Amino acid sequence: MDFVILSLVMLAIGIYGLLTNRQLLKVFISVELIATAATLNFVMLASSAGVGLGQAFLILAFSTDTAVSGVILALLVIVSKKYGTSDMDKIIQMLQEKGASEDEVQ
Amino acid sequence: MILEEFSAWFVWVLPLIASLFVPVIGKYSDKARNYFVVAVAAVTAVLALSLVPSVWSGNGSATTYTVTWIPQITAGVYIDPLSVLFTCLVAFFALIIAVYSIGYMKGEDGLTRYYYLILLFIGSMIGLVISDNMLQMFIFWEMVGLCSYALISFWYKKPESIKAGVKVFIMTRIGDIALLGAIGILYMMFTTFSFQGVIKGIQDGAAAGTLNTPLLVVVAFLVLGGAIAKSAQLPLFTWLYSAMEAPTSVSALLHAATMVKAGIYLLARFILIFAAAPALIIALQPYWFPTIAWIGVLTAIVGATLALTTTDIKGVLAYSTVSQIGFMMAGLGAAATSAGLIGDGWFASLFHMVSHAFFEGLGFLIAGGIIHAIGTRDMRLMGGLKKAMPISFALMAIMIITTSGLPPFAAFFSKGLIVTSVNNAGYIAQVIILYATMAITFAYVVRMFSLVFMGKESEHLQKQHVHEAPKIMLIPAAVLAGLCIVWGLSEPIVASFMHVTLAEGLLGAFTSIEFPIFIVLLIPTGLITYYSYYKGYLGVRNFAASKNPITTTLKHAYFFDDFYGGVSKGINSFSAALTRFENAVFGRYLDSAGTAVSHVADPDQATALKKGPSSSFRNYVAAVVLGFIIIVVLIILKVGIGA
Repeated sequence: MDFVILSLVMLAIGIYGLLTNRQLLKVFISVELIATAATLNFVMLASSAGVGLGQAFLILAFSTDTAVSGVILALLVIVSKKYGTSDMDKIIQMLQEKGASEDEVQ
Repeated sequence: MILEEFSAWFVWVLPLIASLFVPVIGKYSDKARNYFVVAVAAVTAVLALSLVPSVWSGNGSATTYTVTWIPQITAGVYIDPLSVLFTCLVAFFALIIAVYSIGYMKGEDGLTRYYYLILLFIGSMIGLVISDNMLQMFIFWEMVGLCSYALISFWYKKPESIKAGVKVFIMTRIGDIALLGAIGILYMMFTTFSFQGVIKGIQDGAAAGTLNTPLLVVVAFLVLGGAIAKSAQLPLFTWLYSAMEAPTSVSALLHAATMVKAGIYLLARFILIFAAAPALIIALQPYWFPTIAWIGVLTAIVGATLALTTTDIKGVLAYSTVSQIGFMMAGLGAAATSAGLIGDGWFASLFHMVSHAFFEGLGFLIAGGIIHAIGTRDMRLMGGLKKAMPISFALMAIMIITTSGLPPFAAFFSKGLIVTSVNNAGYIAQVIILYATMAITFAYVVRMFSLVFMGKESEHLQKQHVHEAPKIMLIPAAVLAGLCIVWGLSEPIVASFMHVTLAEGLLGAFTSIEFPIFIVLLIPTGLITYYSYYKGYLGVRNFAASKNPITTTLKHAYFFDDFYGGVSKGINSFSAALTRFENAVFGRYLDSAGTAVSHVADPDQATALKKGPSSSFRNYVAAVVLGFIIIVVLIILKVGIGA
C-alpha cells in the first residue's frame, strides 16, 4: 500500500501549496500535484485489483491533463505579461481598482 | 427501431457537433450564425419529438442502445418516458430561447461565444437526461455546470458577473462530489455504471437476499446531496439568486427551465432504480423520503418569503424558481407507497416540473423584455408599464395567474396533484407549510405585478421613451403563455405517455378538499398585497423599509451567504497564517540552502541569488541538476545493493 501513502503525501503537499501560495504558477503546480496523486491512486488500485480499466483511464487522464496544462500555461503567460505579476491577490486588487474607477466614470 | 436509435443518438450529438461550427460561421456572418443556431435547435426539437410515438406506444420500460467507448465502458442512450419527457422539454425550450436570443442579445459583443455555449449546453443537457450509464451522465452533469458558469460570466468585464459565476460553480461542485461518491459506491457494489446493470443487480440481490441495504441508503442520501446543490435547495440555494447576473435568456433556459431541474431528474431516475426492489423502497421510507419532503417544503417557504422581499425583478423569479422546485422535491418525497411502489407524487413532481418550466420561462422572457426596454432590474424604478407595454402586461398576467395556481391554468393541476400526494403520504406538517407557501406565492406575484405594471410611472421611466418588446421576443413568450393555459388540461394525456395511472382524474382537482382551502387562502393575501403595494395602504411598505429582525433576516437571505462567507474567510485567514508560518520558519533556511547548493554548483552566481530572483534562473537549473544526480546515485546504490 506504499503508493496510497505516496499519493496521500502528494495530495497533502498540493493542498498545502494551494493554501500558502498566491503565485499562479505555484497554484497551478499544486493543482497538478493533486491531480497526479489522484491519477496515481486510481491506476495503482486498478492494477492491484487486476482491472484493465485503470490503464484505459490513465491514457485518457494523461491526454486531457496535458492539453489542459498547455491551455493553463498559455493563460498564465498572457496574464503575467498583461499585469506584470502573477500574484493572484495583486491581480484581483488591480481589477477591483479598475472596476471602481470605471464606475466613477459612469 | 432504426429511427428511434438514430434520433436518440443525434438529439444530443448534433448540438454538440454543431457547437463547433458556430465559431467558424460566426467569422463570416453574424446573421448566418444566428439562423444556424435556430436551425440546429429546430432540428433537435424535431428529433426529440420523434422519440415520443414509440415510447408512448411501448409498455413504459426502457430501451437502450450502446456502443463501446473505452474497454469495459460503454456509451449509450436510455429511452424511457422519463428521459424522453426531459429531452422534449429541453429541446423545445432551446428552440424558444434560440429565437428569443436573436432579439434579446442583439448588438452584444461576444455573441459567437454565447451561441457556442448555448449549443454546447443543449447537447450536454440532453446528453445528461438520455445517458444510459452513470459515468456518462456525470460527465454531462459537469458540462452543464461548466456552461452555466461560462454563461453567467458572459459579461466578463463586470466584476459581479465573474464573482457570481465562480460562486455558482463552487457551490454546485459540493453536490457533484456527493454524486460522484454515490456513483463510486454503486460501481463498487455492482461493478457496472449502467442503469440497467444497477437495476439488475438490485433485483438479483433482493431475490437472493444479499442486498446491502444500509449501503444503498447511504447512496440514496449522496444522490440527494447532488440534487440539492444542482437544484438550488436548502441549504445550498443561494447560488440561484447570484446566477441572475447572466443574460435573461440564459436565466430562462438554464436557471428556470432546464439545468436546475437536473436534480429533479436525478432523484426521479434513482427512485425508478431503487423501485427495482420494493424492499429497498421500504427501507428508504423512514428517513430518505421524509428528508426529501422536508427539504422541499422548507425550501418552498424560504424561497417564497425571499421572493416577497427582493427588489430585483429577476430576483423574484429566481427565488420563485427555488420555491417551485421545493414543491417538486416535496412531490418526490411523497413518491413512495407503503407497499414499496412508486406513487402519484413521482408523476406530480414531473408534471409540475414541466408546468413550472412554462410559467417561469414566460416570466423570465417578459422580464427580459422589460429590462431590455428600460435598462434596469430594480422594481422600485419601474411602475405603470401597463400603458407602454400592453402585450407584456397581458402575458405577465397569464404568468402570475399560472404561478399562483389558479384554475384552470397549468400550475393549478400540477400543484394540486403535489399537495394531494403529500397529503396521502401522511405528511401533515408538510401540507400545512405548502398551503402557507401557496398563499405567499400569490402575495409575491401580485407584489411584483403591482410594482412593475400598476401605479404611476416612476421618475426613472418618465425620463425615457419606453417601447414594447420586439416581436421576435414576444412570440416565444406568447407560445409559452399558450402552453401555460393548455398544459394543465392535458394531464390525462401526459399521464398515459408516462404510463402512470393516477388515483384521481382531471375533475378530482376541483372536487377535492384542497380547492376550497386554496381559494380561501388566496383571496385575503391577494387583497392585502394588492392594496398595500398598488394603493400604498396598511404601511407594509414602511414596514419593509424599516429595520427590524424580520426584514434584516430576509435581506440577508436567512444568513446562509454570510455563513458561507465566514467559512471562506476562515480558510483564507488560516491560509495567510500558514504562509506567515512558512516564511518565518522555513523561508530563511530554504533560501540559505539554495545559496549553499549554488555555491557548490556555480560560485559566481551564488551572491546574485541573495540579491533577488532576477538572475537566479541558472542557480535553480544547477540545483535541479544536482538533485537529479543525487537521485541517480541513490538509484544506482539501491539497485547495486539489491543485485
